[in-house]
Amino acid sequence: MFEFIFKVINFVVLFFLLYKFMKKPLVNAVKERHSLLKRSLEEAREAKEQWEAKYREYDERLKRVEEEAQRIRQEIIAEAERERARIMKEAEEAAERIKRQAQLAVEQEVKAIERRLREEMADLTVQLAEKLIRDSIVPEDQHRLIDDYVQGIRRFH
Amino acid sequence: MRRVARRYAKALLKIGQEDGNLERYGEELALFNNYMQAEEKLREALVNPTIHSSQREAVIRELAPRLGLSEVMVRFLVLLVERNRMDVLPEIVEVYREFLDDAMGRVRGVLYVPFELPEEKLQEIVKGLEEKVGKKVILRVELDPSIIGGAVAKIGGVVYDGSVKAQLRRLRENLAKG
Repeated sequence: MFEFIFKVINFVVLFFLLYKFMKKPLVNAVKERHSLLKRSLEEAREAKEQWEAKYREYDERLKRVEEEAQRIRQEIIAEAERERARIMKEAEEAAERIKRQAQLAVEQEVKAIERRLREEMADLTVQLAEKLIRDSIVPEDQHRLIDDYVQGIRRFH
Repeated sequence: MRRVARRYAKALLKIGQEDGNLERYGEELALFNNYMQAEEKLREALVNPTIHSSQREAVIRELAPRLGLSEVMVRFLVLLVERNRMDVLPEIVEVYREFLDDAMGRVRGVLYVPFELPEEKLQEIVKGLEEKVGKKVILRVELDPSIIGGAVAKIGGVVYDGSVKAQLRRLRENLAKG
């Protein structure tokens, strides 16, 4: 019984001593541990926030780049479309011009041929008329022509 | 040459206007010029500046009575000899005639006809042309069968073409025009 009481007293004393001398370092160690954990958590949170901010920033930039790329792509498409339309218009105009010139050349050639034919016909007609007149003219005609000349003098300009 | 001829012709014209011998001087000029052109030796002597002018003057004075030249004409020809301008005489004749025609209110021209015209027809044409130009007309008639019929008058640079040939030409132009 005494031994039991002694063990209890021994335990109490040991507990008291441990409490007396170990309490502060233990509390300090726990506190330190706690603050370390807290700081680590804080740092992790800050790192997370920074990373998230960076992520958002990169995300924004990526979006802007994509938008820019989209805009440039549309501009290139629009420009290509305009260029295509311009080339088509020029090609159509050139084709029209060539067609018109060819048509004009043909018309001129036709006109030249018509003129040449008319001139040849006129030459032949006049040659024939001259021959007929020369063959058939008689002195009476000559006198009549002179009378006509006299009558017509005042009509000359 | 033409300018020199004009100067001498004008001087002679002035004298002619003053003494009333315009026509006579024109005739004498033409007569002497024809004679000189026909006689080659005479022409060569009169235009030769190495022959003394007094000798050339003597030739003119010797010819004058034979050609019936007036004293004014003799002096005019002597002046040409003295100034070595006898080579311009053909032009002087021509210009003097133009001045004379102008002074007398007449013009000269050529009439082309395809056959010999009776005098009365020619006079009708002259009368018609005189009415047209408002001056007396002197025509030289030339036969030109190529005009076929009608007549063509050329007076002072103006052509009055009433020939069959001209009508055929117009016909050809109209036919060619279409």
